[in-house]
Order: sequence, then structure tokens, then C-alpha cells
Amino acid sequence: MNIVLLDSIQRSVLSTVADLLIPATDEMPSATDAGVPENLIDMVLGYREDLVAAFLDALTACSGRDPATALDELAGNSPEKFEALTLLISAAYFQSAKVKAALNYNPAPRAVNDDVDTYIDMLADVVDRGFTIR
Amino acid sequence: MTNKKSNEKNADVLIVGAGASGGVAALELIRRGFTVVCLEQGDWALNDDFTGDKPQWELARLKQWNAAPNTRAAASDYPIDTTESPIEPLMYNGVGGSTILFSGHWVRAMPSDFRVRTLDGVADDWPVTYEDLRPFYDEITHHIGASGLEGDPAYPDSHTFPLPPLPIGKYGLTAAKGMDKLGWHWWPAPNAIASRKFKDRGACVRYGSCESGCPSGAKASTDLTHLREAVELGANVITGARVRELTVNDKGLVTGAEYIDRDGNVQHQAAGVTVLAANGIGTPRLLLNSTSSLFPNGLANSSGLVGKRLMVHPYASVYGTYEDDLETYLGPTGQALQSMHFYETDTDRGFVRGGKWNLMPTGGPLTHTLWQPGTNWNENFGPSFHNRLQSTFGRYTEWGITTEDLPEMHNEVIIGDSFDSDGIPAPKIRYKISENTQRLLDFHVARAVEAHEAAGATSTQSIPVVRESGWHLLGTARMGTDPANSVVDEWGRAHDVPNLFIIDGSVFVTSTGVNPTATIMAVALRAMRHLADNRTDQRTAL
Repeated sequence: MNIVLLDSIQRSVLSTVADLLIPATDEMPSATDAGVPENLIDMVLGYREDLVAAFLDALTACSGRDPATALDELAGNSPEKFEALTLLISAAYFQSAKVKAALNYNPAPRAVNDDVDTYIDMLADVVDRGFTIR
Repeated sequence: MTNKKSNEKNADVLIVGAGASGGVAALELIRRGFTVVCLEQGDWALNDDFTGDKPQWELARLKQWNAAPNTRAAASDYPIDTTESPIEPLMYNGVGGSTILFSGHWVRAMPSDFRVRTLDGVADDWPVTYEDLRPFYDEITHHIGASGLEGDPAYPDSHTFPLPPLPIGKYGLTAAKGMDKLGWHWWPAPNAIASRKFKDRGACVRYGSCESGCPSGAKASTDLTHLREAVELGANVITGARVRELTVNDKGLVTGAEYIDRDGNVQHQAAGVTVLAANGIGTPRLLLNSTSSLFPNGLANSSGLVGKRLMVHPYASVYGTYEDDLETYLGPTGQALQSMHFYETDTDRGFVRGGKWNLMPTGGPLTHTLWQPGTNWNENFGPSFHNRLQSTFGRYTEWGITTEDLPEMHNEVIIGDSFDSDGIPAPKIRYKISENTQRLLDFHVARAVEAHEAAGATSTQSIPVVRESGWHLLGTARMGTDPANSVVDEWGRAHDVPNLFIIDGSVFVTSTGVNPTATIMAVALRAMRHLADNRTDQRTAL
């Protein structure tokens, strides 16, 4: 994995764009509050090196410009760059412990439980309804 | 590509491809005392290679572990021209084959699937019946450690499973209640995923990453269920070996295969019998690339049917959004429920045959926020980002519909204009969805919407044909009794080449309407057992 480190100007642009894409709500942090422009973006850039060039191009295209206008142009004229930018920002956002907590996201691993008892009575009806086998 | 070499060690049997059927063949034949060499263009994968238990999973499944070789573009993959197909073929090229990435739906075909000409007046009957395959279904189901519940009334026999069913979860129970309201068939789904520790495999821990590789080893991929044991018993699995051509002698027997090793050298592996197990695209590609003076139109192709009659099971997804958090990010993926309610023909519907439904979870949060080029980004991002996430994440389930497409001559695998990284001509597929299949899809999608609504969905979203759904590559070297209209006999032996066998999904006469891996492996086991039982009568090239 090659580590790609953004400079401070790139991180500033990223923060602005990312917060437009993922703003704060009463329940959810913004992209910047979640830490996207810092370590999290560094991490996901390492996961998808194939997207690094398009991502950096997208950041450059947004630099010094009204972010909404820049994103409109990227989405329309350079969808692969827009896709790289938004995919990596979103992926970085979901790496955040704050975000997982806010989503009440409790992913695996989990032990496999046996839940046949919750539906075994219903299956009796399925069997009673029968099935025509040809 | 220099230095053509011969492998000094001839094999009784050469198997091309170490996937679902190749794994079955390797283990059966090595157990029966044959010397076995298996050529596989990819590599072994370790559980730790898979990312389902790692933070990069949702990103890696879109690229490094994408099921579409054209997207994944790994060194072991070959390009497939899909410019004339609405369906993108999916596969994995490595030890275990596509069972590495399959979702593990372990479904038997129905008795009617083998008699569609007799029952429905379409396509062709198979030269084998459900009863012929039944003992092989049973044997493999118990060998691999499938999980399920016996007694499904949709089948004529209460076939058993060695492991209890996986949990159907909150979303499964919700969907089941909806099906009961409608009086429709459903059953806790059979999966090739261990619900308990089985042999040397651990139980599923519900990552839900089955379609990008199982990091816990619970899924019954054939690298784990067959090929490791085959190697322990002496089978030689040569990885990084891309076969470019099967070779023949002047008697019309296949003498083995030329392949390109990972160093770029051309090698020849000689064998008395050759078994093709390279899937419904790889197998016809290899046969069509194997031309000679005796076989100018490709090997085993006197019928002209090699590559023809491609069937891919066009797949529809119907999603329901529910108010409650149903934990739809939990695996397995895998199926929670299946329904065969609309499987059999009812001509009042305006089409013949039917499809099988599977209820599935919908993955982690990133899945729900992906932007599609050409769409308004404001509908994905800004306030919409959170609105979408809140309404779908954990609350969104899929009724997926596997539809039976019937064989048609214009749906085919041919040799295209491109080449793989070893300079071997690459395949192209030409495929059109038939009118019968389109009507079938329309009907089933409408019914699946009703199923979600009956279960309490607050909204539904339908994708009538999912482009990235071509898991099931079938029919391109069909079996039959007449050499004029089939490529192999019921035992997989090529009519034209008596020591060449084909045992993958290519040999399917019709596609059935279910996930085919159980049938592929049952057909392969039946064929290889017959080969072993009749070895004294088998012509060989050595």
C-alpha cells in the first residue's frame, strides 16, 4: 500500500467539499466533524489506489471555486472523477466511530443464533398450503 | 512466451479449471486412484485475503473483489467483450473458482426442469432426470456442509441437510409474514454456508461479505471443501497456468493441454483423459481456440453448438424499505428465505417456466450512498445523504428473482477481437433477453412488489434487469443423446472426442430457474463417478 498524504491546502478544499456533500444534522456529524479530511481519507486512499489520481484531480478542480458549481461541473463533465471523490469521502465517513455510533451500526462478527422457533409454527401453514410438483 | 516445455509427469486425468466442477472431479478421481493434474489460471486464496472482516471491505468489493472480471481486471482474469449483452458475466478465476465469490444459495433444480419439452413444449428435455441426480445432490450437500431445513413442500423428497438453517433474522421474519398474508410459498433458505462448525470450517459469523469472499471460511467454496483434500491425497494443482489450447493426436483423441505458466513459458501437460471445468464462457472459449486439421471449427464442435445456447439467468431485484430497523446489514449473503411459488408454468401468465425468489440483506452503509453517473448528485448528497441513509440502512431488503431463460441459438459465446494478457484470443458474448423471459421478469417483479407491500414496506424500488448479475453461465456445450444436436453425452463425454469430458455449467440443456451450483456439482460428480466406474472401457491418449 502506498501512502498518499494530502497537503494542508488539499485538506482544506476537501473539508469544504466534503461538508457540502455530507453536512451535519441533529443526529449525524458532518464529514469534517467525523474526521474525513484527516486520517480517515488517508486510510481509504490506501484501500483504493486505483482511484487516487481521479480523486486528486477532482480536488484540484474544486480548489478556489464555489464548491457547488465545481461539483456540478465534475458530475456532468468528469463523472469518473466525481465518482472517485464522493466514493472515497463517503467511505472515509463510514470509517468514523462517531458515525457508526450515530447510525447504531453494530456490524458482525456475531454468533449465529438459531431462530427456527420464531417461525416454525408459520411453516406448518406453508406445508398445509401444499405445492403442486410437476 | 518462449521455451516450450513438456511436463515430464503425464497424468491419467487432466482437469482444466479448479472451480465448482473441477474441485468435484479432482477429489473424486484422486480418491479412485487416478493420477490427477489440475491447471488453474489463478491462485489459492487465504481467508485473510478476503476483506469482509476488515475496514476496507466496502471499497474492496467494488474493485479488488468485484465479481465482474472486466471490473476486477486481476492478473488471472481474461477480458470478456460484453458490448452486445445487457448482462455482465461474473466469475472468479482462482482455486475454488466462482464458489469463492458466490452467494452460496444451495438450491436443487426441480423435477420439471429436466422435462421442459415434455411438459411445456419448449427447448429440450435433459437426458437425465431429477431422480438420476438426487443421490448426487444428497452426497454433495452432506459433503460440503450445507445449512437448511428439511421438509420444503416444493420438492418431492424431504432432502436433508447436515446443518440447521442459518438465521432468517428480523427481515426474514417480516418477509415471511408478508408471504403468509398472500398465501404464497416460502421456506428458510438452503445455503452452502456452515451454520455450525463443520469439519475444519468454522461457523458463519454473519459478516455478509459472501459475494466478496468469506473471511471466516464458513462458506463452502471448493478450495476448502474439495481441493485441499484432493491435494493432500496427491492431486497436483498447478496455479498460474492459463490453458490456451487442447492438443489432439491423429486418432482424434485429446492428448492434454498447452498452457502458459506464470513465467510466460509455454508448457504442455499430457494426459490420458482431459476434463474441462472452466465455466460456461471459459470452456467454449478453449474449445473454439483449439482448432486443428481434424477439428477445424473447434474441438468437439461437429454439431456447431459449442458456444451456442448461452443462458445467464437475467436477474431482477425488488427492494422494500421498512420503517423498523431490521438489521439488513447482517449476513449471510446467502439467502434468508426462498420462494418457489411462481416457479412452475402457468400459461395464463403469458409465458412458460418461472423463477425462484431469494430474500437477501443489503450490505453496509456505503452501498446505500453510491452515486450513479448521469443522475443528479443532489439526490445523493447534501441533506439527501442522511435522508437516504436513514430510510434504507438496516431497513432495506431485496427479493431477488432468478429467472429461467430458455436456450436460443443467437445467444452465444464466440471468440472476439481482443486478447488476454498472455496473447490468447478472448471471448465475446452476444446475448438478448427473450420475449418469454421479459414477460416472466415483468410478472415476477410485480409480484415481488406485492410481497413487500404485504410485509409492510413503506416503499419499493425495482431493478427489472440487474446488469451485474451474470453469475450463471450455462448451456454452451449442452448434453444430449444425439451428436447432431449436442456436444456431450449424459456423462459429460464429448461425442466427437471420446477421452474429452466437459462437466461445468456448459453442459446444461436448459438453465433451470434456480442457482445452478448444486446442480453443476451433482452433474460433475455423477459424470466423474461414471468415468471411474468404467475406467477399463475408457479410451485414453496415453
